[in-house]
Amino acid sequence: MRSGYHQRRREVPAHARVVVEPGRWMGEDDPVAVIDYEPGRLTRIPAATQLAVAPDRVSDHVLRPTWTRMRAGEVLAAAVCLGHPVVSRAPADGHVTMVSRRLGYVYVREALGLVGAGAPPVTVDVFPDMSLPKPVLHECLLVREGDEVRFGQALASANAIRLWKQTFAAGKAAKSGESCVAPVGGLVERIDLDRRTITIRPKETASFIAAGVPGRVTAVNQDGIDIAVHGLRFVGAYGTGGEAVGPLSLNDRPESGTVWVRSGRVTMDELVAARDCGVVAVWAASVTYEDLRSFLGDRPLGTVSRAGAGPVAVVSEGFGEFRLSPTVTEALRGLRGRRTLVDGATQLRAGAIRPEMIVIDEEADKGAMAGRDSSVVKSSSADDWPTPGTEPIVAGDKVRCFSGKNLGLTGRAIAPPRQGQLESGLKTLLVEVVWADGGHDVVAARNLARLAPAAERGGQGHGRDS
Amino acid sequence: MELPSEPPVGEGPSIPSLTRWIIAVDVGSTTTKGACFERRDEGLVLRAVEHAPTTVEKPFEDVTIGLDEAIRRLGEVVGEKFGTGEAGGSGGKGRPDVTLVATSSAGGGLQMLACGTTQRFSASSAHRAAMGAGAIVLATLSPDDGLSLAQKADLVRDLRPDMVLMGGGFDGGEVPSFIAELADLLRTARPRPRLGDSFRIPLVYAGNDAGHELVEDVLGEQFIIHRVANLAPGPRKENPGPAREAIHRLFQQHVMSQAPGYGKLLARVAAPVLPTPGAVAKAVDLAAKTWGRDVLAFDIGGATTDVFSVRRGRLARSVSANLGMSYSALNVLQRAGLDRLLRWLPGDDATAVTAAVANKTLHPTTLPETAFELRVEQAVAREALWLALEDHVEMAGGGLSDGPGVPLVIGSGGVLSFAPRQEQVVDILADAVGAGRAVEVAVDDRFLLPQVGALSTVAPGLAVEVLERHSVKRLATVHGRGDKR
Repeated sequence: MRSGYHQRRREVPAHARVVVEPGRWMGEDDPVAVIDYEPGRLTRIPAATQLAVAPDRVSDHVLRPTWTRMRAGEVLAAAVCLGHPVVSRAPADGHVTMVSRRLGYVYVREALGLVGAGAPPVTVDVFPDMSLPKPVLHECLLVREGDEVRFGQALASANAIRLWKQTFAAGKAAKSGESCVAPVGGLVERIDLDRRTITIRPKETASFIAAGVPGRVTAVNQDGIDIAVHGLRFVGAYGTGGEAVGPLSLNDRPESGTVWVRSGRVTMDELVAARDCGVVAVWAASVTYEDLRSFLGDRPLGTVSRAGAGPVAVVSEGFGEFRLSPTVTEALRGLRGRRTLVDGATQLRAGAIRPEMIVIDEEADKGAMAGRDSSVVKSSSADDWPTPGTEPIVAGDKVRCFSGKNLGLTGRAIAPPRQGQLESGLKTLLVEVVWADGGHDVVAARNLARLAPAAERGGQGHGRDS
Repeated sequence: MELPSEPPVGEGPSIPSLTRWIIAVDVGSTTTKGACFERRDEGLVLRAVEHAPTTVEKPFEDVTIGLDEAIRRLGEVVGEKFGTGEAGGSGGKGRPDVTLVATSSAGGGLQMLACGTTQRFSASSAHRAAMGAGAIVLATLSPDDGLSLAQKADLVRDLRPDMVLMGGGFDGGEVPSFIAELADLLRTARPRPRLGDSFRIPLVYAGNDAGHELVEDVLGEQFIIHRVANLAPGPRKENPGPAREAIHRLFQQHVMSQAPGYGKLLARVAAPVLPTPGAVAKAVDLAAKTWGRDVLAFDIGGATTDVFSVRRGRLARSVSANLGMSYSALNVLQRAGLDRLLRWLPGDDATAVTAAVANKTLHPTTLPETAFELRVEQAVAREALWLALEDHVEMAGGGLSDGPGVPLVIGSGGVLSFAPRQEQVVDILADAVGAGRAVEVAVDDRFLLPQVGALSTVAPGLAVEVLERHSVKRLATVHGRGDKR
């Protein structure tokens, strides 16, 4: 575990409008970026032809930089041809998104304004160009009245192959792959096959991205917004899901909205109970592969887990039957109720990312606000994850084991490494270790990480003492 | 590991420009393996073989740290100071009497994004082509995937793909609108590479002609665009071969070279750093030529398994980018299935087996301490080799020789080279080739095949000698076992 300021990044979509600047203090729910609109259809403008210029010169004539909003009909590019002005106009409200110098095209992305609660219903025409009979039109529908639909979701699909099974005429009329999409997210209020329309009652759409954690904005760039948050960081071995924030709980039973810590192995029943009662994240010492596999269902369990892929669950030691160190458990008990962030993102291969938990110290934030020390820890979770076998071990070193029954144990090397043979028959360098609970073992040097340098920085608290 | 005094190999005339010491290092995804040769008046002597963990991950993120550690250990064994940065070739900073040659597969494992017109047609063709090239497909995107542009952009940004494959649209005609949509999506999402912030992600374009112009135009600065023949040139036609080959090539040329510290490594070596599979391919080809027989070789690493075959003089090679002993152990379990794994582990508890496999994935540099852990690793190896040979036959058209004579099967990689008993290696390889064929099995027990390949670029004569005397140890002639292929 490491105390200090830790950097979190809020990624923002390219079309979002950033509303903060470096140095600003943010509350957890404060917006860092606003999304005014959703990107809609992409329209190609044959600008080289319209302007009578060479394709590679089109970009010289485009008047609106990319991502600049413009209204339908506004001039987006202009030239002079035979002494007369010629222009290309925006076909819809939107922005220039791409200019192809080879083809002489300008692409305009339509901007669909986001609606709030109480907005009027939106009616969509279903395949107005096709003369599909009513039963065939019904066959094309992908939604029913009462369904909730997302922006851009297909409402109906005219698949010629499928429709040919209905009648030859229907198949002929359909344009294969043609689909009718929802221009706005909401509830399907009415489907009128006589009028060939679908009416959607818009639903309020979140239109800002919140800071997520209390902290200070340290950087704003095209990749996102960096926020420094003060707290105590714990690094785990493997996680699933994205990021979640809630008060820290070490109770025996899961509580809604909390980050629930289990000091031993978390079972499938506990994971399900946690999910069902609305726990935002589970942090446990271990889990069995079978339980995690069953809990995740179809989601992949591999070298990479990512945000937005379901509930957040992290194991700090590994798979099997392990416990958190008493030191770590005690430290966490003292922090019960604190706002805690858990990020389950994991990448085990090169460019490693390990899951992490930050118990937020809001008092320290206020101190830094008042001008006290606020230097940001730039290290990532993987920096605090020791790699076994990378540093030579000498007698007296504090070590942590990463293999077999001793996985997660910390102890002290009591003799210099010597060549020897493991029970597996492998010949390698062996180290004699006394564990924190007084136990004693001989372990492959390759399976031990030296903790001494980390201890000097403040200690590698993850791991178990016995 | 100090080696007993051995007869010198090679002759001076073939290496007039080489120095007294030659250090050949293979930077693997998990382990950096070094071999130290000394030139003496009478020839070249293999003095030591030493390994160190590869330091591609945080907190190190520099493969030369592991390299220096391996070189330091070599120096300790031979009584020389090959300290940090001292062993070098052309860089000028290194000891002038040391030549360093290297191969690398650090940063291995391939994750791809597949894109196409519709989920049912070209997107699924792209998905199959990427899978066929041995990649994990992180997502398959198309206009009908049910996601909005903003959702897709978020997804693409989260995924950190190593490479993108874009297909779709029949040849001839205009730029299909979905190509413009996908181009705009990738441009907007700015997917970040897994390795190296300045790295440009390779994009294999296997779509219609006109779309290529647009893709090159708007994504050329952001991606390394590589155009290949259309994946689906017409209705009901699929042509995945060129896309697969391009994926293989780009993976080796671009993705692996993004391992942190790779640039520093390049500055210190006497010859270009060969991708490990390329170096092993040279060595296997050399073995087939030297011994005049067909050869099948496996190189099983932490993240990837490479298979090479030479049949009647034709070399074929494949990379199964997600079959391996550590980083990819869970993938082996998931692809093979627990039942197949357990058939090699009678009497062992299934939960303990899966925990051992999963923990090896979490802690990839660890060694098996107990007999149980070793059994599990060897079971994973059997399944990984079985699957990798399946991929090899399908992807590269290679495989075990069907001609007269007994083919040679060579195994390389930690799980084989470090196996405590040679019978275990014989068993693993016999099970991997499958029942019904007599084969001679051999092991590269000092991990020297990549070095043989690397040496062949600066001293071909020596490479043959090292291959014959030090690298390939022939173990037994056996009948293949296990399932029939």
